[in-house]
Order: sequence, then structure tokens, then C-alpha cells
Amino acid sequence: MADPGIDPWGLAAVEQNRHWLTAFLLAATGDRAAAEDLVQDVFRIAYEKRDTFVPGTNFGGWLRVIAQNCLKRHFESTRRKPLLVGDAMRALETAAAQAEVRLLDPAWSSARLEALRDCLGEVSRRAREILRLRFGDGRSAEQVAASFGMTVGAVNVTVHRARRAIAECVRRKVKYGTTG
Amino acid sequence: MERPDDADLDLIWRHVSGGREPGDEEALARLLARHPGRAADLFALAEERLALERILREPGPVRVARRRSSPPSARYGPRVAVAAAALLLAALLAWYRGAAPGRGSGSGRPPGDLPVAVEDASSPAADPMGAAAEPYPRPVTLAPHQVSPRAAREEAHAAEGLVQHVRSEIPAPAAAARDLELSQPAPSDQDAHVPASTDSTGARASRSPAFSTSPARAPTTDVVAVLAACQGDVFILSDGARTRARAGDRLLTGQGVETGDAPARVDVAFQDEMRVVLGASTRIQDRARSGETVRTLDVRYGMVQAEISPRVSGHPLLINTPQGEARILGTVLRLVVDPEPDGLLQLMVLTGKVRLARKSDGRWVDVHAGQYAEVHPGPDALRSRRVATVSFQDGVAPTARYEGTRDTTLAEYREGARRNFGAGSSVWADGDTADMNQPGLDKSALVRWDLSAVPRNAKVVWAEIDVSVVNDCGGRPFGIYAMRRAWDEMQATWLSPQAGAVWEKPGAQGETDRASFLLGALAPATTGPCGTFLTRAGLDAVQAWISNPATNHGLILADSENGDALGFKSREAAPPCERPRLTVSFIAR
Repeated sequence: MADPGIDPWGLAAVEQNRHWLTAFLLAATGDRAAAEDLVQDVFRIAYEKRDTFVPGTNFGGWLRVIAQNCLKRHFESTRRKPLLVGDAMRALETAAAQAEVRLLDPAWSSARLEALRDCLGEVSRRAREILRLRFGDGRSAEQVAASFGMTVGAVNVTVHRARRAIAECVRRKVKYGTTG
Repeated sequence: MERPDDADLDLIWRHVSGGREPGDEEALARLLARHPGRAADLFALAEERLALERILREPGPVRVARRRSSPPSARYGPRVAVAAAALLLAALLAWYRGAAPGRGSGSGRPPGDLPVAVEDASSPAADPMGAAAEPYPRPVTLAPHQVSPRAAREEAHAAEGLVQHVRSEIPAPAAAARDLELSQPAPSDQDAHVPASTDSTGARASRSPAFSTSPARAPTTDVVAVLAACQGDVFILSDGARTRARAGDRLLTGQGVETGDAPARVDVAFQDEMRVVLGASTRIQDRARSGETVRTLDVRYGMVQAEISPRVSGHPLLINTPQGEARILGTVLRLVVDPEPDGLLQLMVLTGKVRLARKSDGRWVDVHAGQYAEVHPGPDALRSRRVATVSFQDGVAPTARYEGTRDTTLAEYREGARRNFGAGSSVWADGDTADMNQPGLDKSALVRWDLSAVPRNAKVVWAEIDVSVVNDCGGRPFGIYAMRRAWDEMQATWLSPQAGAVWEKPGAQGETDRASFLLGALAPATTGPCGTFLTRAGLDAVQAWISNPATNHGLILADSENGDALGFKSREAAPPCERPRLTVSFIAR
């Protein structure tokens, strides 16, 4: 649901909804670039169809319907089989709706980011640098492996271990849902 | 709710982090069919990845965890902590007044000087790159309140014209390259004034005051270099910020240059003294020091090839790395630098002479033309050795009888997929254009050299590839990958490496067909000669080819998304000097 004090077509609303929407589409596609493209599509379509939105109703739910239509077209065009169907898609929708509500609480968001910042400092420098190149700079595992003279498998293992350590650390610091 | 086990979470993480492995998609589908509720974990980890991205893109250093032991105040009581703090403060004040002349009475900077933050180039704290704290590249982005370095440079240029004399401008890139032609090495008697002795390893080594510190000079904002050519991700580093650089950008005193992963590369033409080519994942920093008599260039890590003209003044150029320092009066050299102080520094001198000193103990060694030296913490670490360089080019080198090159093109287009191009006078790499109505135009170039002339126990320290380009790709790079599978020059096609066999994936795109990491890249913007030196991964690959010739399946140039075709002369082309050439430098082990 959108904050009633926010213009649903304003930049603030876009930014507020972008995070959970991107996570929703990333979870469904497993493709970061595709998720980004689909987010753009969702906002573009939402804006084009803004006359069909009934003010006061669930804006986030409306975006999720558009997102699901975009996903359907995405899988048709790429000829990939959708990973999430039926109950799994409903569970994903529920998770996205819960995240949407959580993200309305700036204190929760900032506490989690703060914990993440702290926990990132607890992994080794090398792991941190690999994470930075991989996710901060958006480089592929192959590119990271090349720059560190490692194998792709070793990069992925390092990322896995770092992620587990960070997730464990964040869980210690804040209530963090069901992640790792 | 049932908690997922680590294997499930790893599977989910691979899905959202782009690290899927074969079979993951089916495994994930099975997991979700069995436990639809795991979709919530899928969302949570996707969200986690996005949060990580956000944190990792923030400017400024990551907060590194402190030791988890309780603080002194908790362990020893408040009074002890206060006393320790007072002692520390007193010691700092004493150092500030006594050990740093000129600091006690103000800033120590003439009133007319530019307000540049660097005060003591020899202290880690003054190091604008913060090497002591973080040897790896930092994710530096501009915060909204920061002035962009480009704007700062423009302001600096304006200030130059108003408040200080303008030094002669760097010539345009082409002229800079011409002006920086390799010059003769420094006179051979330069080491006569430095005491030398022979150490237990037989090397000429001595103690040297190479690391004595001298009062630093606040750097000015002079233009010191121009980026003559850029390829891939190249950044100019300035006061903790980094901006994407392009060919023609200028480098001011105190600024640095950083390259991203392969195929990144930049050619930096310094004013009147040197030309430096940075390979992928490399960082250098210009550093003003000791008046104007010594210029210091920090090479933090990576691969560097430098051509340094003899210093007109006779004052050396210092190349400073985490492990050691090289004093140069005029030379052509190559450096491979690990980021850690206890890592490996490799130096190869092509012309002239370099004095290489180890930071940990101040020992030094003179490395002459054609020699190689390493710095690392182990014994036998500082010794110059003869380096051998051998080129492999059909009809030219190592001898005119050499015919060990094999090359061909794999072409995807319908009638070509089953056709062999081994006898062609050129080889090609190409990708699909953006026009999705015309897919299937990929081409990949296969090249292999017989390296059996190099002794199997040789240690490879440098490798370069040179080709003669007949069709340039507009500066857009084609990656170079090691082949993992044997292929026959006169039989290989898009579908098959040799008669009776097929590639794992057409075009040798499978994991068993070729390695997935880059050995380097070729990105010619013009036709004619074009060369590149290989990355560390490339050196490892060449090393493997030499140590175990059975693994030498050559390399492939490919990029399925680069629609600007690259064509270069093959081993069948004339004249022979335009055929593909691999040059390997090695030392005996």
C-alpha cells in the first residue's frame, strides 16, 4: 500500500516502491538486468494507465499486477519457463507486500542498512572487495575471477561464504525476516 | 515456518545473485514445487542482494570491524583509560611540535599556496589514496555535495592562469606519443657513486638511504600527463573521488589513474619524462615530493609498462610500490605489482638501468637492461637475473624457419557454420549487431603458437600479442580466452573442432571448449599494427602452455555482443612480419 501522503505518480512514490518491486522481479527472473528493465516497464505502464487506478486502493497491489503481466511477457519473449507459478508466486507476492509495508518504516530501513554496513566490515578485506566488484560495480563472476586470478568457482564460494557471514551477523543485530 | 537448510539458501542465493550453475534452475523449480513458501526466501535474498549493492556503492570506506575484545575502559577501569588517553595525547603533541618542523607555528604553507590537503607525502596519512588502510580499490562515487573532479580540474586550470605561471602544456596525444619516443638509456657509470657489495646470493646489494624522508611540498595543480588512449573502464582519481576518464583527459599533479577489469587499458603520456601503459586492474598515483627535483609515481597494484626518457636534470624518477621502490634515470621497464606489501613485485628492465630497493629492509639491487628482479619477503628475493625474450611469428621468429602458428576463423552464419577458413589470409572476430533481425553473425578467431622453443622450466614474466589489423573494431574490445580443447586449423568450423568431433557449444563457447576468464583483449581503433600485453591470467596460461605443451590449445578472440568486426592478418599473409606474433619473456628457474 502506498503512503497516503505521497503522490502515487511522484518521484518519491517511485523510489519508495522501486526497491521491493526490483526484488520481486529479481526473485522471479534471477536476472538483475532483466529485473531493472522490467521495473522500468512497470512504472511506464503504470503511468500510462494511471487513469485506471482508483485512488485510495492498494497501489502496491496494483503495481504487482502490472509486474506479473510484464513478467508473463518477459518469459514469453525469452521462451523461458516461469520459475514461480501457483502457490510459489502467491508466496512471493505476499513477501513483496510485507516488504512494501516494512519499507514504509524509515527506522526499520535505516536500522537494517546500518547493520549491513557494520557486518560488511566483519568479512575479510578480500571478500569485501570481491563483493564490491561483484555487486557494487555489477561485474560478472568471470570478470572478478580474472582480476583476482581466481577461478569462477572460487569467486562464487567466497561470495557465498561472505553472504552467509553477513546474513548471520545482520540476524544478530536486527530482526531480519527469514534470510539466511 | 520450517527453516530452509543452507543448501537451499545457497541454491536460492545463486539464483538471485547471477551465479547459477548447471541444473540449478531445475533444482530450484523442484524446491519451489515441494515448498512454495520458499518463494519468501527468494524474495528476501533478492532484497538482500539489492541492499548489498546499495551499501557497496556508497562512497567512503567500509567500517572495518574492530577486535571484539572489550574496550580498555571496561577491562582496566576508567582511570587507566583516561591515563592512557592522556599519555597518547601528550605523545602526539610532542611529535607534532618536535618531529614535524614548521607545523607548530601554523600550517607551514606559504600564504599564497593553493589549499591542497596533502602535507607530507611520505606519511600514510597524507596519502590521498589511503593505501595504508585499504590496498584494494575503493568504491568511490561522488556524493551530491561534492564538487566533481572534472569541475575541480576546470577550476584548477582557471586558477593556473591567474595565480601562477603556466607550465608548458602537454602536447596532443599523437604528438605526445611521438615526443616520448624511446630514448637512449642513462650513462653506464651511474652506479659508481653508490656503494655496493656482494651478498650471499651473489647479487650486488647494499644498504641504501633510499627511503629517507624529506620535507614534502604541497603539490600544485600542474598538468602532468594526458591520457593518450583509453580502453574499457578507466578512471581518474582525485581527492578520494573517481571520475570516468576518456582519451585526451589531463592528469593533474597528485591525481591517480585506475583501470577496471580486462579489457581495460590506458596509455598515459607524462610531461617530458615518460609514457606509461597500464594494464587491467591497475592503479597508479602521481605524487609531488621533495621540491621539484624528484617525481614519485606510486604503482599500487597491477601491470605497468613504462618508457622513461633520460631525466634532463639528472634527478631520478621514483616508482614506489607496496614492496619496494625503483629509482630510474631513463629506461623502459615493466612492472607487475601485488597490492599487499608482502606480495610480489616483479620488475623487468628492457633498456637502461633501475635501482630496485626493498622496503622491508632497505636492501637494493641494480637491474640492468635485459634483467629481471623480484621483491618478496622470502630469501633469495632481491637478485637480478637475466631475462630472455623470444617471439613466435611464422617465417620471422624465433627463426625464419618457424612455422608453428595455427589460426582460423569460426563463422556462425548458415552456410559458413560447416565451413573451414584455415587457409584464409586473415582471421576474424565479430558479434551480432544490435539489429535483432539479423542474428547469427558471430565469428571467433582461433590462434595457437608452438612454444616448444622455450624451456619447460622457464618462468614466464611477460607476454604480448601483436597482430596486423585489416579491419578495426572501432576501439571496442574483443576478449582473449584460453582454449581448453584441441582443434585442427584445416578442419575446425563453427560446429566442430576437428573431423568427427563437435564443440560442447557451437563456436567453442562451452566451458570445456574455452576458459571463461580473460587473458587480455584487442581493441584496435585503426588498421595496422596492434598489440596488447596479457593479464596475469594470461601469463599463467602461457606458463601452462610451456610447462605442459599438451595443454597448449592456443587462444580464441571473441565477443558475441561486439558488432564491430575485427580482422587481422593470418599466418598465411604476406609479408611475414605482419603475421600474428606472440612474444614471451621468461627467466630460468
